[in-house]
Amino acid sequence: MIPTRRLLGPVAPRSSYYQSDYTQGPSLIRARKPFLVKNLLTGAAILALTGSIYLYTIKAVAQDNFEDVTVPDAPTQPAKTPNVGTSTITSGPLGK
Amino acid sequence: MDKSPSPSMRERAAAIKRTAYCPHPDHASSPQHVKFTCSDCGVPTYCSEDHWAADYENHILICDALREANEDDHDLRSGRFFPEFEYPGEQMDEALINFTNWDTFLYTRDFRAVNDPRSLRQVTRLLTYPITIASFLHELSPYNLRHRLTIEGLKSVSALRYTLHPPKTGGGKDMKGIRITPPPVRIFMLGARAESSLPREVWHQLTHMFPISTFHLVFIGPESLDGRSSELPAPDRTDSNPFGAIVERVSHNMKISTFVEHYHTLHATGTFAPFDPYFDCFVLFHPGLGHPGSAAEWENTLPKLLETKCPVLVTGYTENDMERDVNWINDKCKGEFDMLLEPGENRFKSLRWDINDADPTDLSQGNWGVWSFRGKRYEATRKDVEEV
Repeated sequence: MIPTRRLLGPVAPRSSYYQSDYTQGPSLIRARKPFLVKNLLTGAAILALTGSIYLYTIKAVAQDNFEDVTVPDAPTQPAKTPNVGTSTITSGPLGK
Repeated sequence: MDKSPSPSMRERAAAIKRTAYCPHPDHASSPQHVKFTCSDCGVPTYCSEDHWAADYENHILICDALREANEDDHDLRSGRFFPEFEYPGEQMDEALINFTNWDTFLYTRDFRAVNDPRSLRQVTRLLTYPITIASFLHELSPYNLRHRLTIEGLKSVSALRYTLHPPKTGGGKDMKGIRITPPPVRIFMLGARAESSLPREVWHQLTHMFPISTFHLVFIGPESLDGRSSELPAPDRTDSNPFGAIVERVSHNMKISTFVEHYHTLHATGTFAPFDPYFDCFVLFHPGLGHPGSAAEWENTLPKLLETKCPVLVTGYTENDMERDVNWINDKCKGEFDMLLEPGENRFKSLRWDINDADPTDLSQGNWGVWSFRGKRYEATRKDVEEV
C-alpha cells in the first residue's frame, strides 16, 4: 500500500532530511542517534516530575476529610417565624 | 578491477600487479608479484588461486573493505549525478555547528541529506581535510580539556580562536562601515599532496564556518602541484615572486597560495616570518614523519617548525602510521615540544577506505587519527641573584 500522503506529493519545498511521507530520512535518524538515549531519559524525567506533581496534588486533596467542619447530628429547626401557618394572633382586632 | 568497464580502473589493477607482492607466508624470502584477483572483492591480492585459498582466513578480514573501496572507486567513475557534492553557504550566526560526528555536522551545517552510505563515504573523503582543521580550531570543537586537549593545547587554540571568532565590529559595505580588519589566519599545509588539488569550494567550507575571519591557505611541498601542472602551470620565478608561487583568490575571505618547494628552504629565507601564534597554524596531512622513506626530509623541517611556536596539527592514515610519527617526534626532540592534542582517532576521518597500490592488504582511511604538538615555550623565570 502506498500512503495517501505520498500520492499527493509535497505541499511545499522542505528539508531533504524528511522523506516524501514526512517520515525521518536515514541521515536524520543517524544524526539524532547520539542524543536519542539522553533525550529519552530527559523526557522520562520530565514526565515523571509532572506525573508525580499531579498524583501528589490528587492525593493531598483527597486526604481532606473535612474534619474541622462540625456536622450537627440532627438538622437544625428553623426559628419560629410570625405570620406563617396557623394564626397565632391572640390580641388586637384580629384576635379571637 | 582488471575486468572493469573503466579503463582507468584497469590501469590501476595493472599497476597493483606490477608493484604489489603476494602476502602469503611462503613468500617471506622470495617475494612474488600478485596475479590472482579475488572474485569477491575484485582486487588482485595473491599470486595464485592456491595461495588465495590457503590464506583465505586472513583475506576474509579485509575482503569486505576492499570490495567497498573498489565499488566506491567505480562509483566515482560512473558518471552519475553527485548531489552530495553540493555544499552549503555561510553558517548563520544563530545556528551552532555540532561537531559530534559527521552526521550531526552535516545536519547542523545545512548540507543536503546524505542518505546513502556510499555518498557519505564519497563526500567525507573530500571534506575530511577542511573539517579536521575546523574541528580543532573552532570554539565548538569536540576536543576539550576533558577530551584529549591538554592545558598547553588550550593555550594555543585559545589564541587562534581569539582571531577566528572576533567580536562584531559593526563594519559594513559603505563608508561608515569601514573598519580596520585583522590580517588573515595563515594555515600552512606542509608536504601537501592530494589536499592541494581539492576543489576550491571544499576548502571554502572552512571560511563558511568562521564567517567573520579571513584565511590564507599556504600549500607547501614538492608534490603540491602533482597532477595539476597542466591545469595550473607554475609561473616563472621572478624578483617579485622568487619561489614561483601560485596565488588563487577564492573569495574575499580566502586566498590560497601553492609553493612547489620544501618548507625548510622557504623558512630559511624568512618569507613567512614573523610567525604569530594568534594567526598561524601548521597542518601536516599524513606526513609520514617516521616513515623510512620520508623521515630524512622531515628531519630538516622539524626544528624550524618547533622554532615558530605555532601549533602543528598532524594526521595519520592508520593507528600504526600515527604512532610511528608520534614515536619519531619523541625520539628526535624529546622535551623540546609540548603535546597539544593527545593522539587518537579523528572524529572527522574519511569514511572511505583507500587501497595502497603497493600493498592492497594495507587499507587506510584518510585522516584516521589526529594529534597536535608545538615547540616548547620557555617562559621568563626569575633567578634570585646571590647577594655579594
